Amino acid sequence: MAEYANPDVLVSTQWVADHIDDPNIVIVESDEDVLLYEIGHIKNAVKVDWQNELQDQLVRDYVGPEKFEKLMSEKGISNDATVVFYGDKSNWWACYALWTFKVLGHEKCLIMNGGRQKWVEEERELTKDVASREKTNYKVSKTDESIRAYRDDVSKHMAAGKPMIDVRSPKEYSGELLHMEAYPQEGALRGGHIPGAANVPWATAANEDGTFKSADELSDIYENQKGLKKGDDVVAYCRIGERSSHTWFVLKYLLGYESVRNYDGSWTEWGNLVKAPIEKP
Amino acid sequence: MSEKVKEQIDITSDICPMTFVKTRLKLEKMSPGEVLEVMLCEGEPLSNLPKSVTQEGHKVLEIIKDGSNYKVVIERC
Amino acid sequence: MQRIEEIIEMFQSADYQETLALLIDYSEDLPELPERFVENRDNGFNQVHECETPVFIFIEVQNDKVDIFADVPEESPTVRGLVSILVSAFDGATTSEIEEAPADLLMQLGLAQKLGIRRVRGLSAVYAMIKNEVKKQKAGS
Repeated sequence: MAEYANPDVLVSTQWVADHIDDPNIVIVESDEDVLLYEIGHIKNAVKVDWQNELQDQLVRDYVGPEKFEKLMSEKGISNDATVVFYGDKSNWWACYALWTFKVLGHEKCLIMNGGRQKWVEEERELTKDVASREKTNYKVSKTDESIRAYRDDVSKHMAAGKPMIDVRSPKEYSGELLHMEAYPQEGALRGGHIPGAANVPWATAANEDGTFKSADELSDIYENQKGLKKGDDVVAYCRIGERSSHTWFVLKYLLGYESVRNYDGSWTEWGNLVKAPIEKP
Repeated sequence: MSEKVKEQIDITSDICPMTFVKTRLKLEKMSPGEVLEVMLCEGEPLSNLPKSVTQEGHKVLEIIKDGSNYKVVIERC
Repeated sequence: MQRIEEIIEMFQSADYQETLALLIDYSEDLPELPERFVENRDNGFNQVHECETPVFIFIEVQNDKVDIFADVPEESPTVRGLVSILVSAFDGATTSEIEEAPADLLMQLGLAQKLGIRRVRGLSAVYAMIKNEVKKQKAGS
């Protein structure tokens, strides 16, 4: 059985339990449900909210280096800290936070495999005590735009016939639905997908218990079934760029693709863009 | 006012559950042993707040009538 | 039952931390679903399908008075808290009070700005369902 390309980016719930009091480790909870941290979280974990803390509140973008420095300093995360992310929904939002941290240049980022669900199912301890970490003086020295694709990059990528993974549901991919089921206001004016993109819904990469599928299973899904090849330059997208950060993590670290970018503008940009080519079956 | 009182809040213009929320958030920011004085109205706040605070594990030291309002003195535990 | 105007005022005056704490409080106070609805819930009736979280709403209208019962998993405290606000505002109300309740109630609560729109959108479906169901049962009675 094959191993993940970078097995070290995943840690188990047991590993986290063993490192709860390790001063060099910062456990970060990032959830879709904004109250989960409040009703109970892993001891010493800090909360990072993608909505209020990682996204710019005015422009459609992430916070810039300055705000990120302030956020990290206040959370008590230093530049050389190892950050372990976990969250609800198979680590969907944990991967999103990890990707954002990477864009903003934080180096050591790991994921707790299985996320919140696995921790809770194993009946491990949760606390309501808010962790208080000493403030740091965080500095962003360089950001990493190589993992982020903008619409012009995607146009070129498409024109060059390079592979793209659309991680939305089959109905969104086919254009039958203009939005994610249950999320009516995050729609686009046109339905369909970017020409050339293959459809692999993000959750295909996750097991029932929230963990990632094995390297063999992932290779079968993305390579045997969808034709990705090692060395490919890949773009992943969804509707607003959060589901695709889960797939980005899988391709980048678990399957080891060096060049994978998340197109965070995603369908809410492309499907609203004048004259953008669209494929619809 | 007792010398021990460290913080005071006035929740006479709030309704439930904001009354409890403000008290709880205030207590969370204090250290164990410190004392909070809460000014509130009779009726629902007076009948519910001391109970809720006790359930959270804090100690109600005394309840003093103050004009038409009440002062609830709580030790953060 | 709380007056909706009071709830709106309370949420409008709340800062971010108070909003979260209020929602937790509402979430904890949502009454358990009465036994007589459990079978229907388990058979998938009365689910609000627009919500990604399994939300079940049961409405009974008797003598122009509306009773609302809801079931939302504890693992989804935000949705549970939001639904609980509606239950607290409208359980025990008259049919006309619910019909006349503001159409833009959710906007007035101001939660979309504080929590992000995607976290509160399911609530508009729940609100619409309560209004529609009351209208339907009133017409049928």
